[in-house]
Amino acid sequence: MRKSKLFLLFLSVMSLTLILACSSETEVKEVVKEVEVMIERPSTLKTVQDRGTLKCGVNDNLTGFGVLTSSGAFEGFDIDYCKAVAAAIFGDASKVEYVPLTASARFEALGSGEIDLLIRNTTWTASRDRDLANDFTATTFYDGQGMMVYADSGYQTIEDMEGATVCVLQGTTTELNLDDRFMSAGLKYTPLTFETNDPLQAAFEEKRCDGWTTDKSGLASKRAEFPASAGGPDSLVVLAETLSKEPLGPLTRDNDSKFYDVVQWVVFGLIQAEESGITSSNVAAMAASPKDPGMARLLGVPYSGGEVSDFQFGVDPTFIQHAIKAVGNYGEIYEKHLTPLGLTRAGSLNALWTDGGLVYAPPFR
Amino acid sequence: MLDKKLKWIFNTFSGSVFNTVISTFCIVLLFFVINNLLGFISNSEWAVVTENRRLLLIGRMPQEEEWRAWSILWISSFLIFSSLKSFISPSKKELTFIFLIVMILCLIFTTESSIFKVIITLMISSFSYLLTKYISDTPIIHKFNKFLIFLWIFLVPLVFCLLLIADGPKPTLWGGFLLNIILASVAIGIGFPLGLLFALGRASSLPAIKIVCTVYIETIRGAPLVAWLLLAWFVLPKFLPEFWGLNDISVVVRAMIILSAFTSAYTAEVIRGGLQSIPKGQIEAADSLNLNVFTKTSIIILPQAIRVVIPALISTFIGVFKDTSLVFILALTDLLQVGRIIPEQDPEFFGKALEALSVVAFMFWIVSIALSNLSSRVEKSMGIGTR
Repeated sequence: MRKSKLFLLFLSVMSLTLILACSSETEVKEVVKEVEVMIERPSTLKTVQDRGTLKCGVNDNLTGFGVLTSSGAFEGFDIDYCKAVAAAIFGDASKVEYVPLTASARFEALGSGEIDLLIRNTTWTASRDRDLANDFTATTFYDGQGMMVYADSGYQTIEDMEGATVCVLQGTTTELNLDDRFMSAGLKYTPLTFETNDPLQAAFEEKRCDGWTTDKSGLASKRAEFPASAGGPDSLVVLAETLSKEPLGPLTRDNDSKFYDVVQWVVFGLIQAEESGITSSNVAAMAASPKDPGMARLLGVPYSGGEVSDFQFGVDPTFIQHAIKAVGNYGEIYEKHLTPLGLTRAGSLNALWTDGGLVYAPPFR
Repeated sequence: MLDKKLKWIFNTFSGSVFNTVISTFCIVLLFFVINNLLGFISNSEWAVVTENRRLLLIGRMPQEEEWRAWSILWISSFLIFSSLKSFISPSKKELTFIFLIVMILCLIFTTESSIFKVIITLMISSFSYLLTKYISDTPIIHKFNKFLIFLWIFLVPLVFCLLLIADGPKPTLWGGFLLNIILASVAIGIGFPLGLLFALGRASSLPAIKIVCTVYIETIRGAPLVAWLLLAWFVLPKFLPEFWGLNDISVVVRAMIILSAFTSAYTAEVIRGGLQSIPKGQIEAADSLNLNVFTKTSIIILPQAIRVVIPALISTFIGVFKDTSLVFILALTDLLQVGRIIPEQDPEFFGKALEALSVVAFMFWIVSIALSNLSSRVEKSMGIGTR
């Protein structure tokens, strides 16, 4: 009896050792399998076309960029890009399924395939590009982190803010940048973190914090609508310094070049449209008689009886035309959603490159 | 009568020095609270709520699908108000209270375009209450009660039919208060019977069943609901087979599965507490009558066990109802999430979170208070605490 038990124990130990020894080999096999799956995985473009709708991950509570309106529809700068991509693929901007995501779940949602495209004011950073299963396409909005303080506080620069309490949103790059800036300047400060903007604003109004840091686009709109009961817009100043670069743009999954290309060239197409003076109202006329060969290539129409230049993106050659029809060119989208918030475009990074900004599209050729 | 009241007032204020101090302090505090509350209500701008009534109630459901929500409301108001008379028969005080709450709800949620439908709702409510009152002394009432119970049981399937027939909106578009109610009803409706089975299984003497049930309960209870919800969102589809599109089921269904599983684990433990409170003599008596296991469990053990745990059960259900607000993680727009996002909708709503969230809190409070009142009613009618 005893002996047989000992034998069993010996057997189990042996088998366990064997399994452990083999595991490195199985790991290699697993990696190979993963690579195979990656190669075999159909392009998101095909999945989207087969499904008939585009699943777009968006923000539902960032004024100007993505909000849920009272009628139950989504609206904003980022939302218009979802519409533009849908219009480019289907010729119909309404074929979007919006998936409102929290900041912390957005990358998981994209990686797991719950959404096709993530346009949720996401900052392009090196670690996000490397770690997470996503690729950043072209930047749609150049933001930067700023600091807003009360005018009567006497703060002129970040260096003045020794010992200050700063209100900041939790789990964002903003929080990290804030820490970087104060640490490198050797300044002590107390961060006061919040999940959403509204309690943060309440705390700021009660002067529980001396500074409010977030993207400058957000600060501008919050300042413009600062309630008169708490001092109104004039009681606040946004410090000139930009704490960090925050380029925002759409994301697709890693290794998904066909879909990536479509999204990226829709973004470029809308920029080129502004440069060429094509708007949502004149796009039909321009397509009927393009002014020059470049415009004809952009709109996917023949120039004076020539051939249509199809870039073989896997969508209709007139895809940029559909996108412009649906949401207008870059300037129109900006005018519609961001100008009302007090974000002046002239002189900012988001002006066209011809006006000294960074908004630039590679040639359609 | 008046004399008694005067005496009470006299006692509270000048019975002893301590009483006087306490009473005066409470009255002053109450005055400040009410004063500030009224000040808040009258000074706030409620546009953030009134503009978003539809979002708060039914979420992202498109306008042309509104009729589904209205028909659900009408059926449930008929059910609620006839059952109110038939099963609960509230006192005058309670009726006034209910009337007040209904009036506040109407005040918050009536729009110019919906006023007609709101009047229909009110008419259905009062009509069904009066009808039940009228027939309550006639023999029809028994059949009517049976009909009501039947309707209650099939209410959730009926609601699903109404939401899905004739090419209804995608479940991900369900939202607001409606979504919380649907999720909670499904979670309780599936979780309670399941929990009953798991409780019996855990108390069973068969080791295989006992171990399975124990492992299930402890696994589900061992992780936070948020973790389970995230798991359902990102991992569950990978485990489900591909046929019938099972791996592509809607997140709403996934949320329902997780919430039901969660409810069942918690109710199982509550019911197990009740099972353990039953004196051994009861079971021995049943055995000596030669009752089989099924009869013994269903007519001797369970009725006694559940009677004991009704307060704990209802508090679990209230917890489940409030937990449904966690589905915002799954990209669903439930009532609380609507309350959180609407202040960001438009610059003119900035800083109006308190207004939005207080309405949300009020809605959650109504359901919770209704459930807890129901539980105390059931307790009284069963004589818990007196027998």
